[in-house]
Amino acid sequence: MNEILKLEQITKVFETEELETHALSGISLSIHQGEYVSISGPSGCGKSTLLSIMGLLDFATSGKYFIEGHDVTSLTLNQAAKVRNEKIGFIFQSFNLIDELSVFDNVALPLRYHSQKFSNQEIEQRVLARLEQVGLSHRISHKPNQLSGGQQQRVAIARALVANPSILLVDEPTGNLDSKAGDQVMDLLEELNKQGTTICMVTHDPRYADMARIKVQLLDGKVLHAPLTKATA
Amino acid sequence: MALTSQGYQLKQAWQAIKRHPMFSVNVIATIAITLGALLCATTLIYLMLVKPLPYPDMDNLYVAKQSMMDQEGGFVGEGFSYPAAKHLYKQHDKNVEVALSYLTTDVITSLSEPVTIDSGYITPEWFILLGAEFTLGHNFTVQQNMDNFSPGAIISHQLWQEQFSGEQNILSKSIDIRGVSHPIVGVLAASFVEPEVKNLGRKTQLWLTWDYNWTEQMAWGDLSSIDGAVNVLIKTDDKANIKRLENQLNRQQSDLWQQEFANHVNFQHWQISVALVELSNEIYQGQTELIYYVFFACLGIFLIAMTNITNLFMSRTVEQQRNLAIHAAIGANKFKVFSLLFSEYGLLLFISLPFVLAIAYLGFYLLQQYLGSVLPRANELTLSWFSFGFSFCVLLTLNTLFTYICRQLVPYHQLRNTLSQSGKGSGIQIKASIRTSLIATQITIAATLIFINLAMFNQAYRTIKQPIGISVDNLWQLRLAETNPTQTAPEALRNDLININNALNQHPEIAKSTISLSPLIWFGNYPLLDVEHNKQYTPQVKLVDDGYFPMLSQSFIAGDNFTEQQILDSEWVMIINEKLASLLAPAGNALDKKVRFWGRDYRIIGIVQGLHLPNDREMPPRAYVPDKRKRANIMLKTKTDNPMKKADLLQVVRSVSSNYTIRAVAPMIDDKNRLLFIQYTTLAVTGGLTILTLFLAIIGLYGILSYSSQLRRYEIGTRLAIGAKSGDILSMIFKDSVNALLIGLVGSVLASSLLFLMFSEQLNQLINTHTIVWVAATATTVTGITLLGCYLPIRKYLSNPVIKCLRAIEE
Ligand SMILES: Nc1ncnc2c1ncn2[C@@H]1O[C@H](COP(=O)(O)OP(=O)(O)OP(=O)(O)O)[C@@H](O)[C@H]1O
Ligand SMILES: [Mg+2]
Repeated sequence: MNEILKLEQITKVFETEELETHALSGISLSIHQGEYVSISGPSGCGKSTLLSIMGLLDFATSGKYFIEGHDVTSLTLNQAAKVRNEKIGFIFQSFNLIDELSVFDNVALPLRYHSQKFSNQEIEQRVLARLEQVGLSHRISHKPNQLSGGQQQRVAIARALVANPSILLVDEPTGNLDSKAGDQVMDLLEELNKQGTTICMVTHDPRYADMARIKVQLLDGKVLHAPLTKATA
Repeated sequence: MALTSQGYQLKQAWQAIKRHPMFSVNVIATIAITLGALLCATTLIYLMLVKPLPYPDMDNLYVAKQSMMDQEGGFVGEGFSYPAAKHLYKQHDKNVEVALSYLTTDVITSLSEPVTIDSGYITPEWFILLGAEFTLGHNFTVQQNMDNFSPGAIISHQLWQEQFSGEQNILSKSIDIRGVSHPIVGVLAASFVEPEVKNLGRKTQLWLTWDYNWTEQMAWGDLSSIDGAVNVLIKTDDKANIKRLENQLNRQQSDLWQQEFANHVNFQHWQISVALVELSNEIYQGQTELIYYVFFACLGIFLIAMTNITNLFMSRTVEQQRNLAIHAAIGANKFKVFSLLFSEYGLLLFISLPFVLAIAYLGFYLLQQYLGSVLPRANELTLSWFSFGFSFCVLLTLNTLFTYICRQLVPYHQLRNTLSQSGKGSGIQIKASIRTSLIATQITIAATLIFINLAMFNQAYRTIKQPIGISVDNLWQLRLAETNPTQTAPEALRNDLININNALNQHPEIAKSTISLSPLIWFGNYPLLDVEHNKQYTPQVKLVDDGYFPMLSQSFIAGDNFTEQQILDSEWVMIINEKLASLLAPAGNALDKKVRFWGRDYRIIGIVQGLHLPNDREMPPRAYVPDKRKRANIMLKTKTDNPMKKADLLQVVRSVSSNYTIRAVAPMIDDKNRLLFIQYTTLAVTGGLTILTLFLAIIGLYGILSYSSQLRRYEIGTRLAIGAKSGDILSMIFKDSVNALLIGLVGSVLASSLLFLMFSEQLNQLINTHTIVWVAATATTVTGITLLGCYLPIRKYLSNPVIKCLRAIEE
């Protein structure tokens, strides 16, 4: 199967006035198409840092990083934006929907930033299809603050999917949700994975971590335990 | 308990200020500069309108003024003629007090080097009416009154310090002026402020007894011409009957007139009237328009600045929501929240107070240095209780206002929720509409100010650049003073002057010299009769010699210049300007016409191109007649750009005659610049205010936009995360500000139109073909500022990894 992400000896050092924090020290990891990977570990072990490097929201201090075989270790900010837009779908703990925009416009946003120009009709088709997929096609003209937390997260998932990314990067998707809404979101992710979406998810919750087929455990910026993946096998 | 809690609050406030140094410096600097400037302008207005002059019984002091109209109703002049002033002084009633002064300049010849000073010849009442105090000695005595010819000198505190190093035995010394030795009888107190009746910013250094004034000494006095040096001050206890006093003076003057001109038919039809003007009104003939303009400009700038600070404080309050919530959670009531904000903002404003006063002090100094001659009472500009009180009240009002606005922003009942909420964007926020109106207000005020500033700047610039009709390059005016006019025969003086002129002509650095006075210094108004049509005019008249027109390169339209012989013989010939020519002969040729002037028949021999002096609204009629070489004014043209040295010239003068000394020598460009002083001042003031406005508008818009983009940081981060490029974000932010920009521009068009309607008299002359350029320039500038204000704050989000933008605000 195709290798989607590949990290080689990735390190990340945060330098502040007083001290250096080695958030990641030598992470190597690859994720293949269709996999469902969970990353867990104690607070402060570097999970979010790793995820943001994977998502090109931040850059590694050293190491190499490939997406679909292309070296993306040192892209310019605008090149990184293009890759994020086309290859990566993000889902944040705090949903990060834009308050002023309707559900429809929130979901449509990645298409508007896409290098390929879509017609309005095309946009409508794709947005409605994704909203359908997350079960919110009856809420398209609501504003985010008129939705429940679970619904908001599902809108965020629809937005992450709309540009057909190669991978979904998910950081604590249930952190702001009660257990029922959380379960619904997790069910949705599992369903998406079954339909072929590649997912990499950071979570605290062992129950949810278990839903992933590949479980990576981090401790102090190092991979403590990673089951064999097809790449390392 | 209460005290400690207040102490605690202040300590907290101080901590907060230290924690946000940029914020604090921004607030303090903005308030210091703009309130300092406003304080300066307000103090000027206060001096002009409110503060009483520093004289006893101020309300009872009047300046008497004669105005003269010829029989055609043509305005001759305003002031007082010399004989009329003396007559009024001698004949006045017992119920009024009258003081005369004769203000001019003189050269003190008794010091090691001749020193030119502003001088005044007065009757003893002058200092009595003004309540002057003396550091040493006393006022002139009754024995030194008019017609006693008893010399005496009173010197200013400044002259005492500068020329006599404050010697205590000064009263045993004397001062020589034009051959008369005046024993010093008094030194004025440093606090004495002279009324600015002659011109603004004048500081008379030397006061002498009345009888030694120039007009008396040279026997120049003439009932039908205004003597600009003469001032008449009147004090009456009977304010209610001021009209009656005026009538009485008018009757007296008209009796005098009829007596003098019993045999002159023309003069009998002149209108001579005397008016009493309150001293306070008489002084305020400074540039009141300029002062009001500066005041409104400062107010506008201050308002821009306060908009900025409102925004800064609002942003601070939003940032502080968590802190406030904690205070609320542990039981602070609404008032406590108010007083918490009040003490933090109050401390900041209080800290700016000394800076406000320092800026105002600097402003006073600059105004006195550079604008003393156009601003009334500039010498009284100092920091006072008024400045302190005014600044304090403004700051207190601001503090209350800011706190009130910010307090409105904090929904107290929701504060507790703030703590329990973890999601983003759920706290208090400044509404987009408030943001838009803040930006629009700023742009409205800024664009209006910039537009008016540019228009005024342009007008002043054009006046400065307008050709005056003569070239003053390398021209100098030398003014001599006779050392002993009374003891030397007039013939001798005249010959000396001609010889001095010849000697100057021989000087290696001088190309040419001529016995004339620059047109930039003096023209007199005298009646002139068109004999043929029996029509009278009152042109501006000048006494010149044959070298005058060639030296100024003023060209002839018709006829010829004076010949040397005509000047030597003082022939009755006249040269007139094109304007007078067109009046005398609307259709035909004015050459060889006869006009009656100074009681003689003059023949017109030449017509010259007219001058456009800086303050001529339109070209006045002008006439030139041969100089009798009685007044020692010499115009020089140098061969190079090198300045003339006074010592060199004095040597030439002395080599010919010891009867003359140098009263003044200055390049004519100085006189031109003096006439253009208001225009130069306008350039400086509008230029400075434009820069200040731009500066404040930029930091203000930057502040508002940077704050709003900070609030939108998550949104920007999210957009970047899902693939927006920097260009996408920039154009989004620009689009959001375009509304505010458009509202602001429309607002400024409305505001300027309103101003132009309200002050049409003063402002309409600013409207011309260039206006569209200034409108465009203003719009471009303001748009530029807005774009810059949009770009700068988000630059950091666009040039760093996206994760920085997405991290929690409260770090
Ligand atoms: N911008 C930063 N500057 C300095 N140190 C940072 C920065 N971001 C993260 N760190 C440090 O890097 C380490 C890893 O942080 P990270 O946010 O990845 O942890 P995490 O595993 O996601 O924790 P949690 O489960 O609590 O979200 C932590 O020690 C953190 O303090
Ligand atoms: Mg994390």
